[in-house]
Amino acid sequence: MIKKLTLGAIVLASSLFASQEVNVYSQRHYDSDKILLKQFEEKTGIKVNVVTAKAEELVSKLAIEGANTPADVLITADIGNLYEAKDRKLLQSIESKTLNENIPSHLRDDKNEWFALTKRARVFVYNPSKVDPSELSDYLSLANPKFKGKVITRSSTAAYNKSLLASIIAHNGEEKALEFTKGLVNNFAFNPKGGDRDQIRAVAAGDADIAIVNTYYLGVMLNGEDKKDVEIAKSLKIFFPAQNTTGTHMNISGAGVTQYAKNKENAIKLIEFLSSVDAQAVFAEANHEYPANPKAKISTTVSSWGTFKEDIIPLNEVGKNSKKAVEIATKGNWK
Amino acid sequence: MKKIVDIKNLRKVFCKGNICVANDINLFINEGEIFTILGKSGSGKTTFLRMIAGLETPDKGQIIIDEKEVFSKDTNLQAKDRGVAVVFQNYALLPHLSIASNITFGSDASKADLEEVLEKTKLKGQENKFPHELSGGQQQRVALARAIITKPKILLLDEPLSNIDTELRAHLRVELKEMIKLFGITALFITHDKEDAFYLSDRIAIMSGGDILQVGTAKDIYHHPADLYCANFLGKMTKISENSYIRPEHIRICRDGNFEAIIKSIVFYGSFYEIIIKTKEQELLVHSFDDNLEINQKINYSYDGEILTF
Amino acid sequence: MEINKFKSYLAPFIGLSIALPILSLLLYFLIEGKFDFEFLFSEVLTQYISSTTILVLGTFIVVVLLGTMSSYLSARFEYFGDKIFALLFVLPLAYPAYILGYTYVGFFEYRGILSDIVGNPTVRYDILNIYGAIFIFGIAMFPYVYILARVSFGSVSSTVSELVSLHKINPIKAFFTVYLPLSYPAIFAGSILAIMETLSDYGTVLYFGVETFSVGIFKSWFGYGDLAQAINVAIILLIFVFGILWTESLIRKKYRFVSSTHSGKKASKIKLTGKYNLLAFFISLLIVTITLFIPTLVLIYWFILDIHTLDFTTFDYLYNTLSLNIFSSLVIIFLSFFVVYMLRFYPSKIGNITHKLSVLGYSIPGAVVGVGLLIISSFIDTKLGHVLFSGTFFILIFAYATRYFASSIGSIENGFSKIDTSIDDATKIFGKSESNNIFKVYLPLMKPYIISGFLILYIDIAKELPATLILRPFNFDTLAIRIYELASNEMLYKVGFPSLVLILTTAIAVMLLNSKFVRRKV
Repeated sequence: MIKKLTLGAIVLASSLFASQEVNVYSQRHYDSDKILLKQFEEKTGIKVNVVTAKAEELVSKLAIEGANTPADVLITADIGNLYEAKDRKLLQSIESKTLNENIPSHLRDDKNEWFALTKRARVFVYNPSKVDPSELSDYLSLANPKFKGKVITRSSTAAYNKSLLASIIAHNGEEKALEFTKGLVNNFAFNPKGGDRDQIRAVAAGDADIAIVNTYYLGVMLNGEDKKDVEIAKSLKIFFPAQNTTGTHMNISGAGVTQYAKNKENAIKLIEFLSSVDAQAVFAEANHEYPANPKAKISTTVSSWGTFKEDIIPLNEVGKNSKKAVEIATKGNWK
Repeated sequence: MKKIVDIKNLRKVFCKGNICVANDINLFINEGEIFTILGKSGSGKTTFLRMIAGLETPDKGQIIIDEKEVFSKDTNLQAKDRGVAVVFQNYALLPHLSIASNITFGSDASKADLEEVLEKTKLKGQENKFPHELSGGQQQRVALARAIITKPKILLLDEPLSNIDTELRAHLRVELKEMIKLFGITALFITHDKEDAFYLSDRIAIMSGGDILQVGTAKDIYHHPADLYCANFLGKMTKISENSYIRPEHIRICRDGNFEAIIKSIVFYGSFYEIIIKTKEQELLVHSFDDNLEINQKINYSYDGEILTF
Repeated sequence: MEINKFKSYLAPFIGLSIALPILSLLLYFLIEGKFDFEFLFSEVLTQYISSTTILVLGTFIVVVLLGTMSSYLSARFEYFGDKIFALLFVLPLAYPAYILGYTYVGFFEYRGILSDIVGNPTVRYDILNIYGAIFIFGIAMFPYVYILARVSFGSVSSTVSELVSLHKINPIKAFFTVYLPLSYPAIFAGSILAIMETLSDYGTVLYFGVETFSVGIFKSWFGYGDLAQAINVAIILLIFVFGILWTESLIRKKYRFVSSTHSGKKASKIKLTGKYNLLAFFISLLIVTITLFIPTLVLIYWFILDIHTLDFTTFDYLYNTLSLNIFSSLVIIFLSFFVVYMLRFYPSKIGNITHKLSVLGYSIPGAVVGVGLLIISSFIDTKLGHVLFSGTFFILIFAYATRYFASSIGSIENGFSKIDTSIDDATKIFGKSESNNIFKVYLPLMKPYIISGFLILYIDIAKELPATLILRPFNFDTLAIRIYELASNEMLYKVGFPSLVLILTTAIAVMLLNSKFVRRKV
C-alpha cells in the first residue's frame, strides 16, 4: 500500500515537473533574450520552448491556430504588432501586481493584455559637420523644403516607421500626416531601402545628412566588433525630436499572454520575470534599449545620450492608427 | 494433337483512331509446334503476342493455355501466372545482374537446371559476365535461356531476329530452331521476314490489319494462297491477267512453249535469273535457271504450274 | 482488377496531397474572399508585374550568358585548369541566394571590403536595387544552365563536328550557327529552373528592395493582414508561372531535335594551346571569381573578424539542419520514386493531372506554402478536437515536399525514362511478384538517380527559409534560420561562421552530385 502511494506520488510529482513548461512565440531574436530565458528556466524549473519568426507571421500563425495554439506567450517588437494581436483577440487580460508595479501604466495595455518590456526611441541621427542641430525640431519639420535631398529613412512598411506615422496621425490627424508624408518623400535623398543601420552608414558616407532611426542601432554599432561601424557611429550625433511638442516617439517591445494559453500561470511568471529589474538590465545592457521598468539601469552608451522628453501618448492610440498609416504612406508614395 | 494454345474470338480496339488491332481472331497452336505469325509492322501481330502473354488486355474473347482459361469475360490472369515466357526483340536483359542471375530471375530453378540450360544454350563460362559484355547473339541466347528455364507451356518470341544483320541472322535462326526443338517447347514466333517463317515454322498465320488471312504450312500458303496479299508475302507473283496469277518460276521458257515473247531484261540473282519477258499485251516476270538466254531473244513459254485466281 | 484500380488511385492521391497546400489557399479564397478585379488594373499590380518581369528577364539573360559560356568551355575544350573549373562552376548552387546577396553588399558597401582592398573609402557601389538583385540571382542560378547545357554541348555527335571542320567553319561562327541552336532546349530548360527559383524567392528580393509578386504576397498578407488580397496576388503569380511553363513546352516542342545530332560517337574535345588556352583560362577564372571566390572570401573575412567570439551553438544548429534535411530528403525521394513508379505501371488521366499539380510548388514562395499548411493543419486539428498536426515535424516535411517535389521528380523521371519498357514486360512475365520486382530490379537500376535526387533535395531544403520559419516546432532552429536572424539583427559579420558551416554541407552534396554526374554512363 505504501509502495503504491510512493510510486503514485513520484509519478505525480514527475508529471507535475514534466508538465512545467511555457511556450513562447517571439519575434525577438537577440542572444540576450536567449540568455534571459535560460535564466528563467534555471530559476523556476519551468522549461521554456521558443519559436521565433517575423511578427506578422507569428500573429498570423496564432490567428490560424485559434484554440489549438500551443503558444502561451507572444513577445514581439512594435506596438502595431501588439495592437494587432490584441485587436484580433489573440491576447488575454491578466492580473499581476508585480507587473503593475514594474511597468508604468502608459506602457501597459489598459486591459492588461500586453506589457512593454523595452522602449525604443525613434530619433534623428545626423552628420554634425553638415547639420546644425538648431535647425532640427520635430518630425513634421522634416517635410520642410529646406531639407530637400537630405533626409533618409527605411521603408514605410517597416514596423518602426509605420508606428511613427501612426503616432503622427494620432497627434495631428490624417490630413497633416499626409502632408507630412508627401513633404518627407520629396526630401528623400534616395528611395527607402535597407535597414536602420544602412541609413546610419549612408549618412556617414555623405549620401544624406539626416536619418530617422532607432537609438539602439547606434548603440550596438558603437559597442560592436566591427571597427568601421564604431568609427561611423562615433562620427554621428543623435537629436531627440519634438522636445517642444509631443516628445520623441517611443515604440516598444512587449509581451502578452495568449488567449488560449494552456500554461497561463507559467506565462504570467515569465513576463513578470522579464519585467524584473535584473532582467531589464540585461535588455538595456546587451541591446542598448531603454528598459520599460524605470528602476532598471541603462547602459553607459545610452546614458551618454542624455535624458529627453518621451511621447507618453497611450500606445493603443498609436496601434489603432497602424492601418491608416499604411494607407497614408501609400497615398503619399512613401515606398 | 493437343492444343496448347486456343484463342477464340479475340478482339481489341485501340481508342486512338479506332484502329482495330485484333478483329475476331480464332487460332490454335498444337503442342510441340513452332507457329509463326507473319505480318508487316502495324498488322497487329505484336499486340496479339502481348495479349497472349498478358501484357495487354483484349476487349473481348477467350484465351486458353494448356486447357486453363487465362483470359475471358471473367478471368484475366497476370502474366506471371499464365505459363508463358517471352523472348523480346531487344532481349530486355537486366543490366545490373549477372548472366546467371538474369537466367534464374524469378524462377525457382535449381542449380542443376541452370547448368543444363547453360549447357544447351552454349553459354557455359559466361554465367558471371554482365549483359553489356556479351555479343548480340549471346544476349539472345541468354534471353532464350531465361525463358526456357521456366519450362513455359508456350514460348513467345517477338521478332527476336529483327535487329540482326542478314549474315548473322541465318546463323542465329538455325541455333534458335535447334534449341527450341531440343527443349521440345511449343513456340509462337512473330516476324515480318518470310525467310524466318520458312525456316522456323511448322505452321504459319498471315496477319494484316488485325485479321488472320490464312493459316497453313509454308508450302500450303505458297502454292494455295487465300488471296493476293498472302501470295505476295511468301514470294513474287506474276500477273497474267486481271485476276490470274502464277509464280514466276512456274513460267517455263522452252522451245515448245505455247506462247511467244521477247526477253526484255535479265538480272542475275545468284541461284536464278529474274527475267522480264514482253508479250503483245503485257510484261511478265519469270524466274529461270537457263544460262543461255539473252536480251531481245525471242522465246516461247508455257505455264508449268497452278494458275491462281483471286 | 480491384487491386489494380486501387493502385491506380495511389499516385493521384499523393500528387493531390502534395498540391494540397496550394489548393487549400485557392479553396480558402473561393470560400472566404472574392477576386478583386479592380486590383487587376491597379498601380500596385502593375508595379509587381513590371518588377517581376524585369527581374525574370534580367536573370534569364545573365544565367544564359554565364551558363552558356562556362558550359561551352567545359564541354568542348581542354584547357589549363578545366577539370577544376568544371567543379567550381557548379559550386554556387551550394550558396543560398540571400547569402550571396549579403556578401556582395558587404563587399560593395560604404567602407566595405572592396573599398578596403582599394584603400579608398569612397569606392562603393549601391547594389540594393533591381539590377543588383538580377546580378545576384544570375550568379546564384547560372549553374542550372551550366549543368544542362554542358550535357547537351558534350553529347553533340562527332558527325556534326566533322561536318563543321569539313566546311571550314571558324569556331566562333560554328558556335553561333551550329552548336548553340542544337542546345537551345537544354539552355532553355536550365533557365526555366533558374526563373522558377527566382520567382519563389522572398529573402533576397526583400533585402534588395525589389517589389516582386512574392513580396506583394507578403506585404498584403503580413503587412496589411489582408489574406484575401494576398491570395489575389498569389493567383496572379500562379497565372504568371503557368504562362512561363506553357511557353516553355511550346518552345520545347518546336526544338525537339531528331536524336541523330546528339547520338552516336561523341565529338572529342579540342585541346587549346597558346593564347586560346590562356583566354579560356582567364574567362573561366573571371566567372569563378565573380560567382564563387568573392562571396566565399567575404564569408571567410567575416569569420576571421568574428573568430574571438565564435558561437559554438552553431553546431547544435548544424545537427538540427542535418537531421531534418537528411530525413526529409529521404522521405521525399522515396515518395517520388513511388509516385513515378505508380504512374508508369498504373497510368490514369487523373494521375497526369495531379502529377502536374504536384510540381507547382517549386515556383511558389515558401511562405505561401507555409501558410497553406498552417490552414490545413489547423482545420484538421479543429475537427479532431485536439492538436495532432500543428507544430509538428510532419507539417514541416509536408511543406518541403510541396515545395521541392519538382526537383526530386525530375531526377526520378529521368532515371525511369532510361529503363526501357521492355524491362517492365520482362519483369511482369518472369518476376516472382511486384514487390520483388521493385526491390530486385527497379530500385537497383534507379540507385544513381535516387542518390542524385536525394542530393538535390538536400541542397534545396538546406537553403530553404520562409516555410521553415513559419512551421518549425519549438526549440528547433536550423542554420538557415540562424543566419537569417543574424542578418535581421544587421550583424552581417556574424553571418560568416554559420554560413560557412551550412555551405560546407551543401557544397559536399554538390560535389557528390557533380562526380556522379560526370562519371555516370548516360
